[in-house]
Amino acid sequence: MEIKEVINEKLIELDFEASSKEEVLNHMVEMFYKNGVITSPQEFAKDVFEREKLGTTGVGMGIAIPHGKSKAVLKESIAILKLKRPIEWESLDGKPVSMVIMLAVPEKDADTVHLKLLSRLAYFLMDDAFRDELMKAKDKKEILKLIEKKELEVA
Amino acid sequence: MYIVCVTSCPAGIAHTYMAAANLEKAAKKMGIDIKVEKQGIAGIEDELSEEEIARADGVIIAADISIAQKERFEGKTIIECGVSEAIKNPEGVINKLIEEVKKNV
Repeated sequence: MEIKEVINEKLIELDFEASSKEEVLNHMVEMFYKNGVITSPQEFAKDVFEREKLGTTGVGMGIAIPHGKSKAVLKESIAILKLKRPIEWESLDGKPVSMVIMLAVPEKDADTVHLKLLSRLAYFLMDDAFRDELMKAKDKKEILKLIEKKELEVA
Repeated sequence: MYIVCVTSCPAGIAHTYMAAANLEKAAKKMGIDIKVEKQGIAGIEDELSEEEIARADGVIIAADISIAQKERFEGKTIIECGVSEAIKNPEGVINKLIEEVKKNV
């Protein structure tokens, strides 16, 4: 199982300048669209924003993990956006967010192996050492390598 | 002390797993044995066995939706909380269960 099946360098962006959560979410939806992950940015955005209403995805420690299960999603994918300046996200710990990991999941017939990769990443993000390394990573390759290494630890 | 938990959230993609990670991390720090069953989008992972449930001193259900097979925990000391609470304050949630367990001794 390769992490590359759910994320690649094109789905990672660094030093993004944003002033609001909405701007970040819309930009990440566009990232998925440009990479052929979703069929409609409008439809996927709608599902992502719906999820936001159910409760905060700002889980603390400077990270947010918005996600959408949507008809518009063609394949399970992860996008990572690191922000130049932290922004407000109504986080569980009240702290602003500087790294956003968005997960896209098809509404039906999702690939179980891919789903497990996505949910395992959410699990790994609670590991202080792993999260710190990701936060500090300065280039896309390094981020991919860190995730790959972590996935291999439990494989 | 041995506790078992179930985590579950509406999408079953992210919060279920983050809550599990933080409950495990907190329990380890507190010197408590723990097993967490994840009821997520890919089905039930790390399913609790009958033996594990029987052996457990208490049960934590951290869920924002109703969980599958809740009847397995009948007669056990249970505390329930939202999945975000378990992410944010896992030690607090575990402590609350410990207090309940002590009351029922």
